[in-house]
Amino acid sequence: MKLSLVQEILEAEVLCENDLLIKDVRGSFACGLTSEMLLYVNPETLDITSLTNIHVIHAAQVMDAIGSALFGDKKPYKSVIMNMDSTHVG
Amino acid sequence: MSVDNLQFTPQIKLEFPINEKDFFVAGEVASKVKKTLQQLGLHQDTIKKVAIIIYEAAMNVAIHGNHGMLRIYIDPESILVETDDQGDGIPDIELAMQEGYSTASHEIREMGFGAGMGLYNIDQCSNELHIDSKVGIGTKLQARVQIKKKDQTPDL
Repeated sequence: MKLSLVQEILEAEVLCENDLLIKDVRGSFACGLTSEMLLYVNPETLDITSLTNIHVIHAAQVMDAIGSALFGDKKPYKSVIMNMDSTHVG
Repeated sequence: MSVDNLQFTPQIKLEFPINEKDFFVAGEVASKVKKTLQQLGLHQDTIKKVAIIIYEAAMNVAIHGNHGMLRIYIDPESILVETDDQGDGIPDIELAMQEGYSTASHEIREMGFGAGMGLYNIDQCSNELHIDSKVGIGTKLQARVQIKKKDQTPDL
């Protein structure tokens, strides 16, 4: 499934748009802890989390997650969004 | 658990200081070393294990260690990740190794850390793990990962 379709289904706001939206997502993993993310998120996985801090994005990037779907009322700071670089979609 | 210093002849040595509450360093160092290991053409399974160990070990130093060093030694057979800190030390290493055991503050947990999975994750990803800790003095951790050949199947 294309990441753009996942975004449509979730009616998600794209915080950091780049060409990864056309990529296929192989799976997803929901977690609220950085350690869980490190152990279970694989390349081309969409990380689903309610955490919005920069460390979550760093951990997802380290594990080559294709993107992060951030749930909940909390909005990430601009600095977090700026750190979502060309390797990651939020 | 005692440390007998691992017999190791490094061919590449990387070294990074870690300051107290520097939560950025874990992601930065893990990313840098991951790129280095990719350039060396290592198996992605080996790279993933080392990246997890670095992230967790560096985060432990940032949370509990006051100040410390992270060193990575790479040779043709294995990669050794070593942290050395001047923190409060671990009174009961066996207890600290248990999944879910944590002494991290509420503030740390709110950031998604301090879940008590750090040492457990390091253990899961290591072929060899040694921890030496003295209360009030600090902790030394050594985690070794055997380098997997490219044609071997992933096991993590």
